[in-house]
Amino acid sequence: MLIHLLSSLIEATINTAIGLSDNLEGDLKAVANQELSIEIHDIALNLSLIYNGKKMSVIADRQASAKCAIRCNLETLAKLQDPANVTALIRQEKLDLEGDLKLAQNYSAAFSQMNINWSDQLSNVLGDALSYQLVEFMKQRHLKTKQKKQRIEQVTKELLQDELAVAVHPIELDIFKQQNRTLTTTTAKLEQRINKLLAK
Amino acid sequence: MAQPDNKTHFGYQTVAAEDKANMVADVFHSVAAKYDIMNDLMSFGIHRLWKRHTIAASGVRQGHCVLDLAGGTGDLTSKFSDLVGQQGQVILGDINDSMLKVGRDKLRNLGKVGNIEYVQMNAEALPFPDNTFDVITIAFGLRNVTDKDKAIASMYRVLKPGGRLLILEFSKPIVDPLSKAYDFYSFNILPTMGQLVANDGESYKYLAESIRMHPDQETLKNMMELVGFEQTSYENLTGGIVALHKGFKF
Repeated sequence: MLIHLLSSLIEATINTAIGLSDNLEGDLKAVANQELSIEIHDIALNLSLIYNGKKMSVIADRQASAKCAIRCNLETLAKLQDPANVTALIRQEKLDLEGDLKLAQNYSAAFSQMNINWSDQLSNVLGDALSYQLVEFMKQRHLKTKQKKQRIEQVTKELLQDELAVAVHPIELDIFKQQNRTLTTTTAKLEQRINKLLAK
Repeated sequence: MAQPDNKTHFGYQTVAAEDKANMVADVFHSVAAKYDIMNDLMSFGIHRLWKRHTIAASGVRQGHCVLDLAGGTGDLTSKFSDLVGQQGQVILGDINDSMLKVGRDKLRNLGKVGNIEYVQMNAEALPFPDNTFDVITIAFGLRNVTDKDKAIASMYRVLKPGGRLLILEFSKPIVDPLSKAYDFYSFNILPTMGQLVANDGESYKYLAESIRMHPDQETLKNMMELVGFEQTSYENLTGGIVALHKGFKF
């Protein structure tokens, strides 16, 4: 039953977004009455999305075939926000797609271009000035977080590259081991000779 | 099931078969206005999840013709209307005109128009030609039908070959502690809740009694097989408090 609770929450969220967004309803026209099935295997969730021109229905574990069925994990699903990623992810075997590729791309494009004017929505509750300030603050925070994340990724990448440059290559390590063994043998031979000489 | 001497059950009472329909009608006339709110209160909203499960199992697609029998206030019809599109059709059927009116008003207020028809009908004698529907559902309605065998046979007749029947109905809990708690809830809390919210404790006492008199999971499955349904199965939901029976006509 939990899966149906989850699907109803997702459905309510998407339909709220359709109502709030300036362009989502229009963008979803391209997928009207065409069913997309999404199977997210790492959380064992199977959802079917059907848009009827006004509302999105999200049904869990639906017993019907879809025009397009995609199977992936949660991480890959997040990457589908960019429709250009669809074919790349299929090539990388991270996304299994059956049916109409264009439908998956259209769904992806519609959601990635979703534009909600939060300032306008919040102004009904908070008033124009406060909602403008709040939205601007959130935008700044989002931008700063994004920049910080990019900076951390860049630093990590550079560190890894630098570390890679100074790290000993496995072949070098093999040669060193070989030389070490030769030195040990030579030292042992020398020790034997010294012991012989001392014995005389 | 109608008894041989033309007697049947109305809750725990035994009444003349011809009287049951009117007695059930009185119950639903009485509760129609508060039906949805009472459903949410009584089931803690879980009835919505049972219905979503039924929709998922229905396999309804664009262009399908669906009969939502005993559809009442139209919860299933609403979603089927979205799924069948303008090429499809949903018939919301109910024997009770008060329930139909509540359902029709609710769905029209939601903007669901164009592919829904409202028909007052008796499930025992469905007013449709043979092989009409792709899917038939009856949610929380079969236990109120006087002659259940006749109703299931009628559903079989109007279903297209390849079509499926889904019966969502209260059933027998399969876990003993749950069964005891459920009995206490049904016979003590439910009628009080009905009295307070709908000002009608008696109707909700009937609800609890009619659930106990309804055939259990296996019996209902056999009843479906007897009229010709194939690949019959059932799923227990919420520990068997409710069961979803499914059968196909081939």
